[in-house]
Amino acid sequence: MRTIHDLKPEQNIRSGLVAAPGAIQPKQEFVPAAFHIRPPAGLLIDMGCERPQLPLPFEELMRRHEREIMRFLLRAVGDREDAADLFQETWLRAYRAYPRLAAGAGARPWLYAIAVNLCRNRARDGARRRRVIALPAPEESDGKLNRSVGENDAYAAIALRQRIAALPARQREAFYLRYFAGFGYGEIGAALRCSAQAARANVSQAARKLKAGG
Amino acid sequence: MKIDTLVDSMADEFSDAMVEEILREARGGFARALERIRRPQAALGVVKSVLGDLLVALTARGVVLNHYLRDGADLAATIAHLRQYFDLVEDRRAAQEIGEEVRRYVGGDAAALRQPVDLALVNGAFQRKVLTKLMAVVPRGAVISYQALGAAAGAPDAARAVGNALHHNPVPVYVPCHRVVASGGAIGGYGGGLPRKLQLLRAEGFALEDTAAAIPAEAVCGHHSTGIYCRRGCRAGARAHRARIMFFASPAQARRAGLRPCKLCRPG
Repeated sequence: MRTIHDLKPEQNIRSGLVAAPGAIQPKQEFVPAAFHIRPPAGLLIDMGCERPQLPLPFEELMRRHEREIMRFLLRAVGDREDAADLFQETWLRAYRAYPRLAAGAGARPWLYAIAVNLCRNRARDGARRRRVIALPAPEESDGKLNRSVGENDAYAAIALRQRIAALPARQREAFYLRYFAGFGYGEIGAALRCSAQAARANVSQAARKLKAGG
Repeated sequence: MKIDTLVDSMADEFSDAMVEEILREARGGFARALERIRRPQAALGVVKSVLGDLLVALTARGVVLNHYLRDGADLAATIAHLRQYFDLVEDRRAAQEIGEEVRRYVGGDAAALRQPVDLALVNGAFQRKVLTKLMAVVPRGAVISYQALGAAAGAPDAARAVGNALHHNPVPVYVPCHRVVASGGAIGGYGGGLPRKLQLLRAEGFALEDTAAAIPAEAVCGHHSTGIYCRRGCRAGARAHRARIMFFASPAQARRAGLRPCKLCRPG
């Protein structure tokens, strides 16, 4: 679900979304939306159709994305038990819904959408699950000089996570996808079902609040 | 502080090795949970056959789909439908095997269709019953009327419903829905198009032209209720209930089905 907005101009030209200056634009055939489901390929070579492709087997999909999903959940949740739970739930849901994902559609925003929804549910049920992390108040800490750099980072991470958790859900999710999953705004829009512009606004508001808090 | 540095501070929290370890543990739990909701596997392939392009799916229990392909959109739609019930794996060899069986069958080899049939894609008890009855009751070289097939499935008034069940037959050729014709002997329709129906019936011994609209005159009609077979139009045959009528390509085939010749019309 990349849109023009996600790419720099020269990338747009390379990806064919925008014609290079002076290039002759090939005449595009009108294809009704329903047929954007790509005919599975390998199969189609025999039929003289191009680009045949059966949807990836689920195992292969999982092999490709499980690592990044786990990393994303660990960062978003910050707790390995919870992340493992959400990991399992994410992939079970993905398995159930996989037949409804069009063969040619991007699986990545779709997977992250599932993961993000589960994170949202977990945050909603937070009262039941929340683990209290006691942060030493600044004046109680022994001062940064005595701590190793890694320790400092850990503290910063916990503090940041708490501030992220305090954000409105929409902004938090857009922020997760931008900074933890490295999504472009178009992909965030695809995952959160909003426009690329709305995604960008959410991310920037989240970033502004976090900066102000730090 | 810049957001990127903030986020980087969280990046080091879980090292690669740690992520791997957590992943390894989580995978086990996931695999166990997945086993409970797994869809069965099906091997899928397209094969060019004498009957046109076939989309073939095989499960562990047998042929589950043998679909006459129209075009790419049809293929995409059919696969999208199949995905809801099966985890699909592309397997051209399996498809080619089916194509080969079909080729030999249409070439006249009566024992060519070796693969068992899996009716997993059939919706509803009645449709399943119609198709299993059809396989059990109508041998190669015979055809039955929609009404008679309905009667065999316990619903003599349900010729339309029988037609509907046959139209949705997911495994044509293997489930011989081409062996069902109108009560008067007219050929009737076929989901894969009339030429394919004629081609299949010809392979089974009926002398049919490409433009034929009815079962040929030399076919005999048999009646399981009376146990006899007659020439078409015999008055003894007229006594048998129309809803029990079957046509046989030749007297020999009727005898093989356990019927005796009529003593009035002496069909041979």
